[in-house]
Order: sequence, then C-alpha cells, then structure tokens
Amino acid sequence: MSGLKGGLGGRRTAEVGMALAAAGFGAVVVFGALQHDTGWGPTGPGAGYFPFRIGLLLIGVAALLALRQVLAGVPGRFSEPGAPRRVAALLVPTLVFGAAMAPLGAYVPMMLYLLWMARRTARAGWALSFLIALAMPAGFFLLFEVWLGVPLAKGPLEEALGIY
Amino acid sequence: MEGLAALLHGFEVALTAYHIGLMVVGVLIGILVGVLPGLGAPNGVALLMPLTFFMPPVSAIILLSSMYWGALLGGSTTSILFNIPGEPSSVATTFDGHPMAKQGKAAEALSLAFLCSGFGALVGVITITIVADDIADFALRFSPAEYFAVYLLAFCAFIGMGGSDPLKTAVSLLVGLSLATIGMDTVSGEMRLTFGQDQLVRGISFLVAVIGLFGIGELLSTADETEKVEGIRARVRLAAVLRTLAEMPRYTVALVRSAAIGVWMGLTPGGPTAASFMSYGVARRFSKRRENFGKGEPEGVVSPETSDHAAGVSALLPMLALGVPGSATAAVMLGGLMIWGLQPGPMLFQDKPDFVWGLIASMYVANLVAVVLVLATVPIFASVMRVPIGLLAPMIMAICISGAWMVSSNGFDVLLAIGFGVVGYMMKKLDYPIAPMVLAMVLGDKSEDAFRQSMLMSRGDLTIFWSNWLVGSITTLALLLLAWPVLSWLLRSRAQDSRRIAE
Repeated sequence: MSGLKGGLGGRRTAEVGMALAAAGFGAVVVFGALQHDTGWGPTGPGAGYFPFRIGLLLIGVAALLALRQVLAGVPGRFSEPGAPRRVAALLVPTLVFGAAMAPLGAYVPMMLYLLWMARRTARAGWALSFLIALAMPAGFFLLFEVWLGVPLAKGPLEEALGIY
Repeated sequence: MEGLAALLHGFEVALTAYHIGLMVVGVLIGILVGVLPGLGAPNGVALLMPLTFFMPPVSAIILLSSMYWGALLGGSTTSILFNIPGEPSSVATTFDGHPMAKQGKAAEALSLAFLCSGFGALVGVITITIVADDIADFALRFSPAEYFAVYLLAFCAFIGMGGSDPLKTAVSLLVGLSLATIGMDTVSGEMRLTFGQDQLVRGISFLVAVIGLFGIGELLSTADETEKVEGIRARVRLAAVLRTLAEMPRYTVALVRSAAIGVWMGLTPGGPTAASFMSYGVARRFSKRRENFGKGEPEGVVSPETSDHAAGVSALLPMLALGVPGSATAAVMLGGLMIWGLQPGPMLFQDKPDFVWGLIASMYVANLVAVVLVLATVPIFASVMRVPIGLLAPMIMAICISGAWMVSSNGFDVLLAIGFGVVGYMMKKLDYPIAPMVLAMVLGDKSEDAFRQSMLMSRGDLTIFWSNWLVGSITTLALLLLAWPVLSWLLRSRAQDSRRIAE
C-alpha cells in the first residue's frame, strides 16, 4: 500500500499493511455478521453464524501473518524505482475509463482511453494511435452488438445516433 | 461397458458440425488468450461466460473447455519462445524450454511440448472415461456432511499442499469465503454484509472478481516490470514434428510418471500449476541426465507439460461429479454450470448424460484439434508478442473492462473489477495465491449450505463429521492436510536436532 503511494515503503511495510488490511476486512465481516443471528435459530445456524466465524478466523490468521512479518519479515524493496509511476500511468486512466462507462457508454470513453494510452504512455505516432483508437471500438461494435447480440454500455452519443 | 456406450452417445453429441466449429473457435481464442499477458485461462473463461448464457449448456461447456485446452498450449508457447509463462502452470516449462529455444532448438521444444501436452490430455480424459461413473455412483451416497467434508478437504489441500505460504493461502481462502456470504442469505433471505448498499444485494459476482484478480491485476503487474521481451522466432515444420514424434518413446518413463502425477493432482484439488512443478521436481531428482536440467534438457519440457495437461483435463471430473473444482479455471466453469441452471454433482450424470458425456467426448476431439491447430499457427500467435506491451496492455484492459460490464450490464461491476485488479496486483507482488480466493468464492455458498444442513441433521453436534467411516476419513484427511505445514516443520527440526546430537 505504502509502496504504491511513494515508493518509500519497503517490502516489510507492504507485507504488514496487506496483512492488517485483511484483518480489517475480517473486522468488517464480523461487524456485518453481528447484525444477524450468529448463534442457533429455529432453522439451525443463523444467518450470521458462518460469516461471524469466518471473519474471526480471518482476523486471527491475518494478525498472525502481520506479527510474523514484524518479528521476522525480510527487509527489501517493495518495487523498483519508477514502477509505481508506471502502474499509476495504467491504473488511473483505466479507472477514469471504467467510471465513465456507465454515464457515457462504452465506445466514446474507450476511444479516448486507447488514444491517450497510445499517445501518452506508449508514445506511438498519431496515425497508429488513431488506428488503434478507432479500429478496436469498431471491432467491438461489430463483434458484440451486430454479431453476438450482447450489448455494451450506451451513452448520449449512441442515443443521438439511434443505436440502441 | 456401460461407460463405453455412454461415451459413444457422447460422441454423437460432440461430433456435430456446430460443435466442431465451436471447438476450433474455442481453441483459437484459447491460444490467443494463453499467449497474451493478462489474459489467462480463468480470466478467458470468465470473459467468454456472458456470451454463453444463450447457448445450450453442452455447447457452452464445449466452447469454454476447448478454450481452456487452447490456453494451456498458448501458455507453453510463450514460455518456450519468450521465457514468459502465459499461464502460471507453464512456469516450469520455461526452465528448460527457453534454454532449448536459445540453443536453436525452438521447433523441437515446441513440438515436444505440444505432443506431450496431447499425451497428458489423452491420459487424463481416458482416466475420466473409466472412473467417471464409479465416482458419480460413489458420490450418490454423499449426505450434506460428506459434501461439507469434501469442500473442507479442498480448502485444506490448498493450504497444506498448495506450495504457497500456508498463512497467506488461508487469508486468500477466508477473504473468498467472506466475499461469498455478501448478498441475500439463501436460507433465511436476510441481507448479509450489504450495509444498506443496493448494489451488493445480488452479491459479488465471481466473474467480476476473476476478471479483476487475474486480468487487470496481471496487467498492472506487467506495467510494474520492465524486463524487455526478447523472443525467438520459430516456425514448426511437419518434418520436425514427425522427428519429435519418433523420438517420443525415449521419454516413456517421464511421460508415464508425469501423466500419473498430473492425473492425481487434477483429481485431488492440487491443480495443474502444482502438478507441473511437482513433475519437474521429480524428473530432476530421478533423471539420468539430472545435471543437464535447467540448461535445455528435453525431459525438463516433457515432464511439466505432460502433467500440466493431464491435471487440467482430469480437474474437470471432480468438478462434474462432486462439484469440487481441481483448478481455478475449473472453478470458473463450475460457476458457469450453476449460472446455466445445472447442479454439479452425481445427479448430473443421471439427469444430463448428454451434457456429461458430450463434454467428455468433446475432450478427446478438442485436444486433438488443439494440438494440430497450435502446431500450425505458432508463428502467427508468436508474432502478437512482438507488439510493444505499452500498446497491447490498454487493448487487453479494454477487453477486461468491457467483459466486466457484460457480466450484468452494470457500472458498479466495472469499478469493482478494477478494485479487484488492485487487490490482485498487491497479492501478486506479495506472493499471495489467487486461486484459493476464487475457489472459495465459487464454493462459499455451497459449503455454507452443506454445513448448515449437516448441523440441522445433527442438532448442532459437530461429531456428525465423524459419524461414519466415509465422512470421518475425509474430515480427518482434511485436518491432517491443514496441519501438514506445522507437522512437516516439526519433523524437519526434530531431524535436524537428532542429526546435531549424532554429530
């Protein structure tokens, strides 16, 4: 986690962070399970019985893992210099693309995403970038909408063009 | 001979023009998926799943399983030519396959890998044909207690024998089991762990999780690494294939041993990855040319490839007969079965013989199709790897994102898949195994139901899991496997102590 942010955190910090995150998730599961019957009801174990115990086990195992890392973790680098920036250069545009899909449809965000990634991250020429950004959504349209009949997300542009 | 008649009927189902066409399409997509980074077999099957909702189940499973065979072969191709395993189960193939390719024996390494894969697959599917009915009959005697014991065995086998850090495997499993409980409880109808979010009522789809964990996570890992891809060009000529085929008898011992390891690891939930590593390790220990291993020894290609495919194929039997998948890909297919409205388990063999035997018959044909196709198309698919990863990764990402949308036409799923991608990337970096999480997500509801039904039968008495010899031995075996990491550590330190005293 810390390794993702600044590349400052070592491998050990990341290991402990991951184990604590798992324990935290276990705590959420236990908390959620406590809103139900965690014991015995008229139909056997209640709705919270199973998740309550799974959550407790998860907290236990993750705490053990974190403890082991603190006591006997291997120091070292979590990632090579420059790696967090490269991962972010892929992750952030993907997140924007994914978030834009529901309101704007699949095709326009996909074109912009592919164009951005080809130009900015891969440093391809304009011609190649445009080729990828246009050919791939077009191929998707033919494959999914026309041939297989499985619709992708539609946005205002598709609506204006009457493709639905 | 009941099995033979059933198999012949299966061939009638499998050998239609439509189904052979599906096999060819499935294998070709599979090879591509196996070659491309970020698109492994589990993720490929998950991405194709929404397209199969409108097909008859038998056609759907033929398409998906054919894709699986293709992906296994595609994974071996990149292992040998690029030293990049396209599939986790092809890692062991890089040890000797890539050195062989570097020595100018790429064509030999490739044809050896494909032919051995074919042999392993054949042994796997013959085993399935012979034992399928017996295992199904055996499983008919299972009550919920036995089912829970079998699920427990699957989970414990991953922790004890999976090869990863047992604590990290346990975390991965438990997170998967927790994720499976999200949404409506099947028994009481209560909303669990939704915290008032409408999006979570349906639960978290394992397809979305697989696309994120295996696909997006893998792509983020690729961006993390900068190693330059240096491939070796290869064209496989018919003469080279025939020469390799003529040399196959030389490896009889390795072939038979590796196939046996593979079938065993596929039937028990060890999976193809563990099988290929184990087979390579055993070969290195017992081979006459053991000092040549790691430097381009053909037996180092034969052993993992044969096991990989034998395990991949035989992993489908426990999935069908018991509802316990032997590999991550089989787990995704099991989820598919339930989406298509089929109940995996022994009743499937009685209620849907067309489906079961059509699939088994298709495995004979599709594996043959796969070996022939991969031999013919290796140069074409290998050229895909020469596209710079900076251009390739966003395109594969667009496929994953669209696939996550298609699961249920929902924007929330897309963001969830990206979230799983970040988790998968972290898990990969910190050596957490991902397959147990997927297995637990698919089996979570079923194992909880089995547990609750057992508890109802016994009025809360846990000794029901030792109430007869069958359930008792499965449960005990499961607990032994769970304790295995601790036991082996104790034994090892005891041995070291006694050695020290002896000295």
